[in-house]
Amino acid sequence: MSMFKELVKAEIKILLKSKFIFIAPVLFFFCIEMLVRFASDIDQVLLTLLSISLYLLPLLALVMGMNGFYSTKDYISLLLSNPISRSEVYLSKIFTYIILVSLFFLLGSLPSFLFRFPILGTEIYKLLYVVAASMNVVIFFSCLSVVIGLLVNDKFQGIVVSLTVWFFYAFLFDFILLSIIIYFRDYEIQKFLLAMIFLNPIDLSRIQTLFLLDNPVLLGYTGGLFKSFFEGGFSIALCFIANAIWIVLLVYIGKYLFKKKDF
Amino acid sequence: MIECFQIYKSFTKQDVLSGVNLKVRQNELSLLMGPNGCGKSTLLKIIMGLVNQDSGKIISNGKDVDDIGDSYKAHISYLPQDNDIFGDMIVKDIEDLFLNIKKIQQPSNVLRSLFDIRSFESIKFSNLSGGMKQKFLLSLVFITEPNLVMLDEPFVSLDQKSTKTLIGFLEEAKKQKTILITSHYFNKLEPLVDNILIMNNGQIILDSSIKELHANKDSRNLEGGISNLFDEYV
Repeated sequence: MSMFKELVKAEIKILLKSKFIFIAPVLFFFCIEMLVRFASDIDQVLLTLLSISLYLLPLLALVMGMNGFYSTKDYISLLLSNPISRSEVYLSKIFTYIILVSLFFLLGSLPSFLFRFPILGTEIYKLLYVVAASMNVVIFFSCLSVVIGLLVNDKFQGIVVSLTVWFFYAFLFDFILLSIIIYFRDYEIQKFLLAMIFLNPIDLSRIQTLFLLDNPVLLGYTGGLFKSFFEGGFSIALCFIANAIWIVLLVYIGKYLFKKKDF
Repeated sequence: MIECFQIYKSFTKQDVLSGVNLKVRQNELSLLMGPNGCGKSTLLKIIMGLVNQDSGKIISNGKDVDDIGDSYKAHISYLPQDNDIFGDMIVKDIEDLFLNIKKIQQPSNVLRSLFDIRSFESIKFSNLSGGMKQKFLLSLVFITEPNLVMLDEPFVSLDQKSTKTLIGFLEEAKKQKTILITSHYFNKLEPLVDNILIMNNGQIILDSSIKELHANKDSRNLEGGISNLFDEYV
């Protein structure tokens, strides 16, 4: 455990040497501050925070993970020439990216809420739901960034693949879903669509949080589909389990690839 | 110490190692030579577990490394060929990290002093010149008092003075350590070398002591002998 801690500490030190990454929390802070300052309804602010988090955090996690992975590739090889297991090095990398992206998100978004704590009052739990959903996408996309880094050797190609993956999950997936709904509207495809939703962790996190926030109006078609099949509580549990399966799967795929990787 | 049996490795269907057998003899300095791309660095990386072999076995102190895990690396130090490793990390921080990884309480500072690492220990690694990077990495290799040292092209980027210093240091170090070096500088290492290993086309085509080499080839110096051997085998 102490070695794992040392590796994470060293990796964080390396990544923080680049001042450029501090742009992320500053941007988050300004976005959230504007929202909180000009919005009258706290529910509206939380929903906008949810949207920002679900679409921007995956991008941040992917870019930071890719950059971190490629810039420390030679460093990994030096670590591996020491009595440290590959699993330990691999997990320390993922953990580092998760910590940093989460920290940047929390540092950028929470001050605006904490300064206005009285207006949240007993509804602080709603903010925690949004933070939990955000953490979920951070974990998923941090793991994904390492998997992409392991599969694609060239940094430039890796970043292009990452951006494509982000674009696919954040926008294209919903567009494909909508196209299927329109083109096959005369067929019974609800179960197929339901299965498709499980392929997108961003959608799953969004649906899960909207159920938790008890905001059915914003569930959209996919959320509505969920609602027509399952009870609210069951939907939340399903989304949680599906997300957990995604993360465990990615961690194991990454671990396998890392073990087989030649450095 | 370390033995390799029938190591095969190919990258994208191109064979790099084709059944390498290697025995690194204890308390001797072995020089691994061969033309560019013959698989020297890949072999060292496989021994260090950085590259996975397609087949074959690595034996460390009589035990298969697949069975004992990464613990065999505790007493091995390795200098990679590429020395642009630590990015923007501060030299002293890297050293501390290394001592933590190897769990070393009392580091050996001989090469550190000889190369005067202290004079640039507060500088970012990325800001060091190629020679300074190499000197620092070499000092890092020996800071942990390893039993087996594997150096992949250690003289690259070093100036004449530093090369001399390193050769002098290796002369002393080989009395207590097993050393495996890949290098093209035969003449610089000639007085130190106990064993010569020559690789070509992914195989070790010669494994001989320096004495045998001189005796067999009737050459006045090692380099001449090596040239003769290359003519004969390659």
